[in-house]
Amino acid sequence: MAEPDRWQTWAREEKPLVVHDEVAPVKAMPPLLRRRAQPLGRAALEVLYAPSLDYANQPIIFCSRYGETGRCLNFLQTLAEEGKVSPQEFSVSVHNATPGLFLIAKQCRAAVTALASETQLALSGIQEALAQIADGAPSVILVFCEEPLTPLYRAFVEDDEPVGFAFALEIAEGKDYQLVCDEVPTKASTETPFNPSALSLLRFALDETRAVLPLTGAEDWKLLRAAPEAGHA
Amino acid sequence: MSELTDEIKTLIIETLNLEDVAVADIDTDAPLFVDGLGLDSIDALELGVALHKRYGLELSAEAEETRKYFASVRTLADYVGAHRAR
Repeated sequence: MAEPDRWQTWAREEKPLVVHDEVAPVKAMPPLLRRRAQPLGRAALEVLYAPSLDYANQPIIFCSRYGETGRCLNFLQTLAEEGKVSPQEFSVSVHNATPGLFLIAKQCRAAVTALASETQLALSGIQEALAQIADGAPSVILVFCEEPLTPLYRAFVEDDEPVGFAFALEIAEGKDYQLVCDEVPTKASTETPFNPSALSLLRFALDETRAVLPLTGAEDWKLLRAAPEAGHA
Repeated sequence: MSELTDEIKTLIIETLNLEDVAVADIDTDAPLFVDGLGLDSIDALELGVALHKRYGLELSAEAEETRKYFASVRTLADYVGAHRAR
């Protein structure tokens, strides 16, 4: 979808993502670097290269719950069966490999932070972004990417992502949003785990009718949208 | 000989995921690393593993001769032709 209003409808109506089987081409990246990226990494790279992002050497915060589990499993199986692993696969099996490839291609020495967290990853990403901004970064690029777990691992998690995705947000100081933490949680810790997909962050950013995005099950941490008259960032 | 050089070119393309590169695109005498094909040190290690699997060759990553064998497809084919165990 290229049209902004279609994305807004998608966010407001909580529509599922449409599955595309084709792998992101990442034509902007030199082929010798691109060949090291797998489908999830390529999706994230396509987002980083997006003209609308207009990347200008900001620090990158790369967030993914599990990263490329297919690559890691394949790698572990080869190690078990043959006792040798592919050096090429090994070199890109770390969580920060994808933003690393991007910065090598850009010949840029911006800082990269890679976060993995089974729960509350959206909150962790925002906290990290705000911490870096408080530390002096004028803006940061916050990337989220997920794909369905490789089947062998799927039995071990309760809420897998059904569809792969990648998106990036540029976070800068302003007055449009506020991250707050209530001392007294709105809800007692619930029995049912609350683990919002990073997509909820994208939906919240797009859906201007919503004022609050809870980021934890107890709803102590939340993101607030400023009322329109409060001004812009 | 050209059969073996083509086989090695195919091995390089497949092992190193060289998209959009065909056997005919690789110059048999051009350098494999940095200039020429533009491969890097990780590719050298990967190729070492592939040569071991395919031809049963044991190449030391440190040895000076290894550098010579890895200079081009031709030097690699000469080495594989003379030392292959399978």
